Amino acid sequence: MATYVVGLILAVIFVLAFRHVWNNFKSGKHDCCGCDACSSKAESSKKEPCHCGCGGTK
Amino acid sequence: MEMESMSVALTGNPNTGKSTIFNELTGANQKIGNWPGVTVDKKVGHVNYNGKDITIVDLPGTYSVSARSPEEKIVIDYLLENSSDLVVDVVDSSNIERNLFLTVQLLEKNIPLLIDLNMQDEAKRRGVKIDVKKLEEALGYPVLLTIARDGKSLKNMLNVFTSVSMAGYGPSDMLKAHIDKVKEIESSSLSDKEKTEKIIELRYDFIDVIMEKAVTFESAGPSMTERLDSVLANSVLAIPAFLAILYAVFQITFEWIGQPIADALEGLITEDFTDFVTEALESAEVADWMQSLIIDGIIGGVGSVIIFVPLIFILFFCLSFLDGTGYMARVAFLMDPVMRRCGLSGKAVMPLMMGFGCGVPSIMGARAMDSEKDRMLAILAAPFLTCGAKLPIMALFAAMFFPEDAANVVFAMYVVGVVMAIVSTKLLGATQFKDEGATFILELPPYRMPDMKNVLLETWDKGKGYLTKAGTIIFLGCVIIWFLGVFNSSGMVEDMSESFLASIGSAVGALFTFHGFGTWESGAAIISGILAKESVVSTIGILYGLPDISAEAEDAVETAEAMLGTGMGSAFTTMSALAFMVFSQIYTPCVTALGTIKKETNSWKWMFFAAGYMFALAWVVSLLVYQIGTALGF
Repeated sequence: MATYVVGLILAVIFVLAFRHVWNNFKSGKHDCCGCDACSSKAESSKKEPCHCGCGGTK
Repeated sequence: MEMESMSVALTGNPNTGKSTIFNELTGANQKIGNWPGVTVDKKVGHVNYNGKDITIVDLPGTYSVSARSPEEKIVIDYLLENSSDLVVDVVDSSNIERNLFLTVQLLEKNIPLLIDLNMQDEAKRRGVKIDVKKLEEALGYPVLLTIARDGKSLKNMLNVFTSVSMAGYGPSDMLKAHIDKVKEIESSSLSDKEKTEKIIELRYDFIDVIMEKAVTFESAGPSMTERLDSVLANSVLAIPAFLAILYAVFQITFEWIGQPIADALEGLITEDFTDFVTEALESAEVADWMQSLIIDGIIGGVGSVIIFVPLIFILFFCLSFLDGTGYMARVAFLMDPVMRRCGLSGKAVMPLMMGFGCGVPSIMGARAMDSEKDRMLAILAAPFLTCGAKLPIMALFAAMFFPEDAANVVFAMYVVGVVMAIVSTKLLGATQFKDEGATFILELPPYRMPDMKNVLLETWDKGKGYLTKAGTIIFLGCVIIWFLGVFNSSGMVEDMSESFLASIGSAVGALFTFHGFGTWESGAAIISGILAKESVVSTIGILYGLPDISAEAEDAVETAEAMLGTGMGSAFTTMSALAFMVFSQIYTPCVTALGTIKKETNSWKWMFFAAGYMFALAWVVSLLVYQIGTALGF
């Protein structure tokens, strides 16, 4: 039983991690440049590409 | 009730503190650097004050608005096409004469300005005294005094934003006369070149009059910047000083502060956390294979990457601090002749320096290059530099095989990266891209004590990405590597050397027989490194296991002995470890960087070229390192 519970938790984490990587890939965002901290309160964060120089989007 | 809204545009020369003002006012977190050209596009933020929703637009810094460069075009297009309620010209008070050139140009275009004399503290230190009333009279527009990092100063700025009415201001008689003279020249029959020269001359004459009326200089002796530059930008001492500063950064990161914290964290993960999780899984009677997945696969893999988080944060902190002081602009200045000798503009230095954080923004930053040749060379040079993700590989091998010289060896790997970037640029510049490069003009900013809030925010931004990757792509990689390592076509295997991973790793490992690391484990680590460079370390962590750093290990040598007790210790010799480090430093960039190269060059050809060319170069150089080193008896 415990194996199934632990397996389920790992599967959820795996899916979330995969979704994060997949969404990054689709939107052209990169974790390494710290994109999603860029202008977190700025309008640009909702509408415009990431401005940190990486060229990614939020 | 709907809030009244207004818009404010911030313009001015580069490095006058516009982005600092923007960040302070809007609470945003745009990159701040003490070098010109940090902002290359406009940014929009909001602040609510005195019942008004103020939209603030931070425009890129520019020296003029003649629309020659992309930045100038963005500024002039925005100012002429958008009707901001207020245009604030942020002026570096300590450098007012040069800054007024843009101010005068904007006023010639009938753009009403609120002139913000920023950096008052610096002006005071340099003995620059500005008579605000006389300046207002000379131009006919309102003048404001600020220190961007000072809360009171910015509150006052917001008060002025919400209360000032530009309708009450207009050009002074002196300014009107100047504008008339400019118009006269523009409509004359002179050639374009002559017109430009005459107008520039006219502007400087007008600025001279303003300076005479409103600005006085007190002799303040040589400034701190002049005193520091006499050493740090001195033609003889600059390079030794640069190397000494870099050396100190590496000592701080790998010897004095970073490594002891990393060792403590390693002890915590390998002992306390692993024991706790093992006990919990055993008492819950979780199946052995699931325990192996969690302990060997996830904790072994992700844990081996997490251990290096303190090093990453400390290194990024040091680099962000140096950036904030203005020293990095001197580094660009120093590197300019080297870049030129390689056939690359000195302008490439700034984007390339971003490569020490991550190759992706560095490749993107090459957009700032003026010529296609420079852009391509910078794109293909950026992946050679030691990004944050390569750091754990270097730190792990250095700590294990060179415990007494770990910082020096990691420093040497950074030098290898820079040398390879230079060699590659020279090589490609001579064979693939032969057209002329562009010129590079760099203004050296004054030295400043960096704003610690900005330094910490920037450190966090870069380091946070590393943590995110550990929890996402590295985690995925670890799970996949573990499955490939314990299964083969007939099911689960007892011995990893019979697994899918061993089959794949053996094929790649065979390429490195003469490099001293032709094992399937090395082959597997090299393949995983193309997914993300941190994966090299996480794969090694899974395949060899994390070393058990006991509390008794008091110094680097004892820590190394504990590490050498793992399978990894017997898989490498000192020379093969060095060859592996060199290979990891140079070989094919990660998939994210490759994707960025594809996007930036809009060419599959260049992406595959970069992947193959860097792999081949790494193969040759690491072979030479191993064979020559072994022949010399190391």
